[in-house]
Amino acid sequence: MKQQHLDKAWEKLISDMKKGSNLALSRLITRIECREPGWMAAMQKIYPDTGRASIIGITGSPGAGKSTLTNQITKHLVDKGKKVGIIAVDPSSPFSGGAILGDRIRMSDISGLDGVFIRSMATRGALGGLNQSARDVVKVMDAFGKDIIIIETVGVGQDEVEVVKISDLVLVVCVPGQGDAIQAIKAGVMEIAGIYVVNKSDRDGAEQVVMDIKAMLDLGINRGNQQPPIIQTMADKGEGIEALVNAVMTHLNRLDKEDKWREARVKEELMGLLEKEILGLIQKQWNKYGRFEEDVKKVLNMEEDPYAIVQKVLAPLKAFILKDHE
Amino acid sequence: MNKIKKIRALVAGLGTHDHEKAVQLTAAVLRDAGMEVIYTGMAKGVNRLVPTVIQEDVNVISLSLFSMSHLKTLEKMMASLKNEKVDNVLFIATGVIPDKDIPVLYQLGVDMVFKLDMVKEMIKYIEEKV
Repeated sequence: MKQQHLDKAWEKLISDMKKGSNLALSRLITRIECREPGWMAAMQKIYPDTGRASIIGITGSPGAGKSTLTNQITKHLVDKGKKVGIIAVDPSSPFSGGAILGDRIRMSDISGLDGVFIRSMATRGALGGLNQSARDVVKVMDAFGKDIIIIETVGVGQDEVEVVKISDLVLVVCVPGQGDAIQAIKAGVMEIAGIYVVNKSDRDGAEQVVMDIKAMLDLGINRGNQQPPIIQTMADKGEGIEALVNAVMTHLNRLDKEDKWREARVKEELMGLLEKEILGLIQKQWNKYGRFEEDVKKVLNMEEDPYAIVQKVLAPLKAFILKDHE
Repeated sequence: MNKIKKIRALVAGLGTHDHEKAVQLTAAVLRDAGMEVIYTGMAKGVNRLVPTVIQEDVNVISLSLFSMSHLKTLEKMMASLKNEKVDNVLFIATGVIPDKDIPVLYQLGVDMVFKLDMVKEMIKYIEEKV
């Protein structure tokens, strides 16, 4: 494998991280999330130490209690001697680019626990999008020695389905009182759930949600080999968490490492990385000398259509790639 | 290349929940200025604030104070951050701070004190310093 040269700052962070420094882990995550120069070489260096952690995705509509569940599950996992990494995702404002990342409020029980590392991430823009950077942050936490990494997703948006695809186990959280609980979950997520959690089970309608999920499973909608369990919880009171954690552990222990998801995941990762890199390169070239702004103006003035412009930008790349394959 | 620079700020308050609205306002203002705000609400002590600073790798801490009875907590936090070798973090105190106590805050190592209505100045200061 060709290894690019890494500068001293990266080398130091990686070696401190491997020695167990939370501060170094944290700074590495920032640099990788920001795609600072050398990030790919750094990931190459980290990569051999990855692949040990189990990755759990937690998804469900906003207000379903994902953070509270994460808090409770983590407490139990820590009691079992597990080291836990958490990535809590919240949306960035498309206007200001800013974000309020507030998941830690409901995780204050575990915020200072030994072996627990929580990192809040904003979805940021499309470029260097969440999917790939979350994937990389998972790897850094994995290399750091976390046994279990929990990704708590936003609950809305396309990133949702993407993030969920990188998990070994997906928990889909439904709650009563949000209309049709199943409709509220995005297509593509319901099908890959490993465990369904019906949270806030003390509320009216919880039984109905359980029955709805069962009915859906009877239709054979889930893609797993086994019928996923449905577990009722009251996360704020800590009820049902033990059963949930047991189901999680059973699922993780049963996981066949050679399953079809792994191959699909590698394919997706390769395409995802390539997509972001190519787009980055093109944008950089296009922005040079203000040509991008010029093209935008041309479209605004109806001098050229967007399709023509994209073809013009792609032409040299196409010519280069197709040269050897005609 | 695809470099995205983002200012990350921890926004927290010390004291009772009566003052939480003011802390939320600071969080919203910084978000609208394009920052990523890690919002923890009213903190119960430094035991959770310091790990948050470390794990979130923030550039800025904005701590809101509403009573000078929390100076001890602030002092503990400063010592703990130093102990954990957290440097390069801008420490801002805001909230309801009597003029006579401002020098005390600087003495404890706070980088800058802003009154609640000085949000514009605060944003400008952060953008210049980070």
